[in-house]
Amino acid sequence: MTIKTRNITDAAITAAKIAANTITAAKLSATMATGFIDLPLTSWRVSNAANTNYGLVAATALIGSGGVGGIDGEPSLIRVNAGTDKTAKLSWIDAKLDPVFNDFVLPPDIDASAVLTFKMLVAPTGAGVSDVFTLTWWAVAAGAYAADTEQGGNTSAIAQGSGVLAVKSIVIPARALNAAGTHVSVGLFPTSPGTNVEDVYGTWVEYTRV
Amino acid sequence: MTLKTRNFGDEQITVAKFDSGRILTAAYLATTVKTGIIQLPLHTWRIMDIGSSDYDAVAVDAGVNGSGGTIGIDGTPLITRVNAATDKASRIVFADAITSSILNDFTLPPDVDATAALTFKVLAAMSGTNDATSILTLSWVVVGPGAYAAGADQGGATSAFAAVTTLVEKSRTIAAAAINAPGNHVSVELVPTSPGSDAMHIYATWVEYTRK
Repeated sequence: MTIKTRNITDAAITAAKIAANTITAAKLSATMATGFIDLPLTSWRVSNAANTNYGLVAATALIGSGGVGGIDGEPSLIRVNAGTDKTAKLSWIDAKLDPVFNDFVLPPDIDASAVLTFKMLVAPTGAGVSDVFTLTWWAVAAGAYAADTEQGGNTSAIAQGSGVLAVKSIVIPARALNAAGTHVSVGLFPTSPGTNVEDVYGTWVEYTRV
Repeated sequence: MTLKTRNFGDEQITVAKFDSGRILTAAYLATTVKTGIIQLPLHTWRIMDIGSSDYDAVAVDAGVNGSGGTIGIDGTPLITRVNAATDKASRIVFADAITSSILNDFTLPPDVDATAALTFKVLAAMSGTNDATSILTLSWVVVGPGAYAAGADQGGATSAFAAVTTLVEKSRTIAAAAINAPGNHVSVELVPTSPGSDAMHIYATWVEYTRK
């Protein structure tokens, strides 16, 4: 017996019933519907404390050429243990609050009506202080230039003395300016590390696809 | 005879099910769409400080590297255009007998399937045909949330470049492991072994993974 089209229930999917442009992100599993912007540790620039801006191309002490950083930067870009553990980290030693900068473009599949989430993998050393990380988030888009309203914020408190790596988040509210093609400049710094060291092992942004 | 819905298996996809959303998992995607990519642009690699086996200091080390190991045209290795006047293709060049390491890092994305292998890939060529045994060795260590534990090196060597000047795509498979989960952070190191008397030219580096 040959099953013909007319034998199939009317509810069955056919090519005609899947209209063009109807396979949207809403049909995707949660993992695939989540977009991702990686911010590698090596991509951050250390700010120039003298002018709260990007650094000079001359290899300025503590920040390097243009703020590219290095093992003696503030913060430092360093391996956990050069001999035995090749894991990289950004390390703010005690009492250092210098921001690092980065930037990216929001991708074509971003849903501006949903929140974005900046995430970081962080672990402190030491105890006795209450610290958070602060993210600054400034966006610009096509049209007459207008300085953005700061969209960043703070992480929840980082458990000092635990030595445990934790994922901390900062939610960026949904807004029209978070549309595809918008450019975002971000800054990141610990607020009150006291005498502790704050080690950051990863940074990225997650967003909802449309 | 008219076939009815109950004649079909439970997996029958209907328009109603389609419209309800969340039905398309990576398992239904074609191989090309199901394969994720992590870009590692050539200019993002940092040259490791040989003395300390770590990231370098911010002071420029003339003829070796820029701040923090930033790579440039007079670095060791160096980044350069193939020919500034006639060929604007970029490449990292390990001159003959240079075996300095380069470093990079990235976060594993939300859709990475840790139950599948990942593949580090490199597009490279030798400048001559003298070194049949040249290879690239990759280190791959990962950390994630929880008590800090040094990651085991999951990397290893590519196969030999076979003394050819033709560009070849070489791979190093990273075995499936729970530590390669979304949100975990990877630090990589790449170093040529046995380059001998020829230069090794690297034209691209990236990682491919399976989406879940």
